[in-house]
Amino acid sequence: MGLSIDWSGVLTGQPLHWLLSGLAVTLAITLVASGIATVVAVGLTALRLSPVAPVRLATRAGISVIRNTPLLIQLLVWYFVGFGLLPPGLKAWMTGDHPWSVLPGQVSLFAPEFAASAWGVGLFIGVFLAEELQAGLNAVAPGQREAAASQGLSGWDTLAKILLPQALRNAYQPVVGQYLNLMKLTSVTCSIGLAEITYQARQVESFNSHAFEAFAVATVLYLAIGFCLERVLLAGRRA
Amino acid sequence: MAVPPVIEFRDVHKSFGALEVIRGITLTIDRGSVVVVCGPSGSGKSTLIRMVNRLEVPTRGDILVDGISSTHARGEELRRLRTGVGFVFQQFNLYPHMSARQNVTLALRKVLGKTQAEADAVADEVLDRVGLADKAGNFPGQLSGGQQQRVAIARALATGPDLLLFDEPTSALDPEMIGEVLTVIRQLTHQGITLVVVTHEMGFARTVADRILFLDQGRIEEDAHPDDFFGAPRSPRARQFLSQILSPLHTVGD
Repeated sequence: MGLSIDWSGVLTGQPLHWLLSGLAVTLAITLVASGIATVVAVGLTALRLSPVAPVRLATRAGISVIRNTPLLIQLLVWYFVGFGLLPPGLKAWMTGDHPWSVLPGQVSLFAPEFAASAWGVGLFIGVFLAEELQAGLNAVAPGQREAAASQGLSGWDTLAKILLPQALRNAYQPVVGQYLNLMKLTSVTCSIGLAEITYQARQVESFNSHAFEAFAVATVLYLAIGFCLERVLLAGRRA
Repeated sequence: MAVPPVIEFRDVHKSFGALEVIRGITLTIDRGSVVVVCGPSGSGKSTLIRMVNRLEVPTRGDILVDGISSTHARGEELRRLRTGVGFVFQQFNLYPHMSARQNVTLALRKVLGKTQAEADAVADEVLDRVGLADKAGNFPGQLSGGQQQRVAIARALATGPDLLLFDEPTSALDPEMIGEVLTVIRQLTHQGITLVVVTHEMGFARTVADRILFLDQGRIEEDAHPDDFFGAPRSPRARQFLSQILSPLHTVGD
């Protein structure tokens, strides 16, 4: 029983449609989760520089919890527990009909699967991004903060205008790596039923048993997204 | 006295852990005066001026700047106080990711709320005052040490402070660049701005200062007019310090 390869089983008809809609969902979740991760990372960095010691302590503890537990567990928690804890009105609105928010493959941006995935992956990577930024901040000369303080700049302006740009420059390469990790980790969200690339590849496999072809196509899609993302982010360094 | 002092130290002490750096300093500095602070390394000179705008916090005592306690000021009040006090660092501490002009305009826009156009106009004016109008677009990495320090002075001047503090402004410079920076500082004297300069440049101190503070082991050992300080220092430590720093091998051609 050798391996017979038949690309038409995945590159035509319904399987192709599934994989393309999976691609759209992966792109959407990558984009939204990246935004969340960025906000989380900047927020955590600001909290870590807080003059209030309990705030710094709580931030460290939160980072530690997220860093040291599996993403899969976190996604299951956000999906099964977190969503249930939202106010009923918000839940009803999220599961309601919003035609403008629907991605190809009937995936709504506000569906519990998408929301829990975007938040879960965004938070997870946001924490790692905050760690990279911290490493970058540690390499910024202490005199920079003193210069900003001596000019009367606020804590936020000091962070946004003086410290973060330099931290980002110092930690650029690993920061790009975290965004690439984020894109690849969106594949885990198939476990809570988000119909992204991996989910659709499995669907093709159970539909016509073309597992090799389906996962080969999925791999090429991830590779292509990753390559483009890396290009875009590395180009951003010069800007 | 008709004019209140711009800075007042009230029995100020400062320790870093077990190390006592400032041991009880009481002092007033008059508005518009030019004060040079000197003394051997480790005597507490830098700590003294860094406490004025609360870059260091006194362990005990109080410091008043224009009547406001910088030791106790927080938040908005502290930021307002700092905006009125220009600080020039030994290592320049320019923002390396910003051009000379952006270094100058940042606080103007973010702290004083000026528009970009207003801030740019001020930047051009102060960069011109330090002789660097043509370098406004350059980044710190593209400037010499002396030029960087002059940009830092322009940055400190931009917000229109009443008081400028210099923490060994020429100590990190190559010898050939010291003169250009001292010339810029000299031009700022007697324009109504109070200058407090920590420096080892005794030639500069002698010709520019109204008053010399000589610190040793966290105390003011001598507080004198430059003529008296250089002509007839009273304390043995000051005499020893001057004989070391003014040795024939040391250049004081300023």
